[in-house]
Amino acid sequence: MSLVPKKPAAGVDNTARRTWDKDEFREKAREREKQEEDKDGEGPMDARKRKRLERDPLHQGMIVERSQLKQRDYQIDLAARLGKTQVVGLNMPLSQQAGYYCSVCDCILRDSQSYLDHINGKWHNRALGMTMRVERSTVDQVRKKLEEVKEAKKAGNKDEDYLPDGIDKRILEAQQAEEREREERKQRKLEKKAKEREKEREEEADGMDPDMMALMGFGGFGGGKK
Amino acid sequence: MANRTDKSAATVHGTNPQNLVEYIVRQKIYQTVYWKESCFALTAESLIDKAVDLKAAGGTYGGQRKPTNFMCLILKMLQIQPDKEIIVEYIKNEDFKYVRLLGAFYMRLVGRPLEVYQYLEPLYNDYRKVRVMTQEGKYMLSHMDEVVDDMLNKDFMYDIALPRLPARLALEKAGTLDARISVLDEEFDEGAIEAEAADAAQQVAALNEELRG
Repeated sequence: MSLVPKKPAAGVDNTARRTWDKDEFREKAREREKQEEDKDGEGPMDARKRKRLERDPLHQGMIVERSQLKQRDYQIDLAARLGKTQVVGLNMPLSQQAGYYCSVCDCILRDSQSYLDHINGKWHNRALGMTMRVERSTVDQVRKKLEEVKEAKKAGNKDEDYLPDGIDKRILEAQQAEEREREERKQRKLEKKAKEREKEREEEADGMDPDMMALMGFGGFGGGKK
Repeated sequence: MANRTDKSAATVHGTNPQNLVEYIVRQKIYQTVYWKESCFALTAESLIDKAVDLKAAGGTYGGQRKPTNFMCLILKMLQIQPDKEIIVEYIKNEDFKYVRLLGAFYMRLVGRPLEVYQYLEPLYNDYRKVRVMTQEGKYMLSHMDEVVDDMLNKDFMYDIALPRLPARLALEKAGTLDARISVLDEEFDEGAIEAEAADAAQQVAALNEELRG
């Protein structure tokens, strides 16, 4: 690439490309716009502009100056009407038709992305009396905010561990009940074992000589038990 | 208009600050629901509320190259361009790791080389663990000082091409920056002294043996 700027090359246009007659099409566009105008001589662009100005409080004289852009204080629920069936008619008001309805601007947006873009857009915010400029924070505000968030984090942790009143008592009682059960079960098991042993002794004794028993403890067969 | 840089913002590295994020990644961020819903009309103050809820740092992930919330907040900061003192507050705070990372990354993107070294090097002493989202979409464990080291040494991080940073040596030679003294230097020095003492003792012992023998 040379650093010396080139002059536009003079030459003959030898392509077989179609060229457009700009004046003719300019005329056509003007005719079309005239047709679209109402009886007041207002086209669709002008109509939109007029409606926008009617919504704008600054133009209507209700406020003197637009306030700085603020965050929304409400949560947007995009999935509110998702999956629901509804009967719509062409003559019904826009608020009851399909899609997301913006009450401030009286318009429908057909999908969530365009709804969010509209809500964040220039005309909607101007209709709410806000300019698109955000307030510039100062260092002190930021410092305070960091402190606040730190406090909130500390306090917030306590809420997570929050237990209802009297739960300590209940926990104790539950533990005691468990212990009692365990002991009872142990007792039962011991009693069972004792009974079984007695039964065994009786059975084996029935088949054995008392002498054998005296000699070799319990069992003649199968070895003596220590 | 919601995506335009603040009118009073100064140019950064010769362009609109938002241009530091490459066009395609920027468009991806603008189209996320997080940006549209939560990052609208944020100031440096209200940004802290969002930053505190961050759970990971990272660039874009997945086949669709979805940006992380961290990226969205970085772009927001580039859009509103907070003052240097505010960014220093973000970096100085010790309670919130990801707020610190936001401040450090923003400083790396926007600050002058001297300021970058001055404010990012103290973060080398912070060894806390941080969560980083990888390109595949899985979380990876890293440490704060590792991330800061990447910021100072790599060219491309979190899907943003980092502006050129002169080598530390260049600034030291110019006299604007002092040589770096690491916190670990003392420990290394102690270790070196001990090693030397051990060597000296060994040499003495060897000489003694020779003399006797």
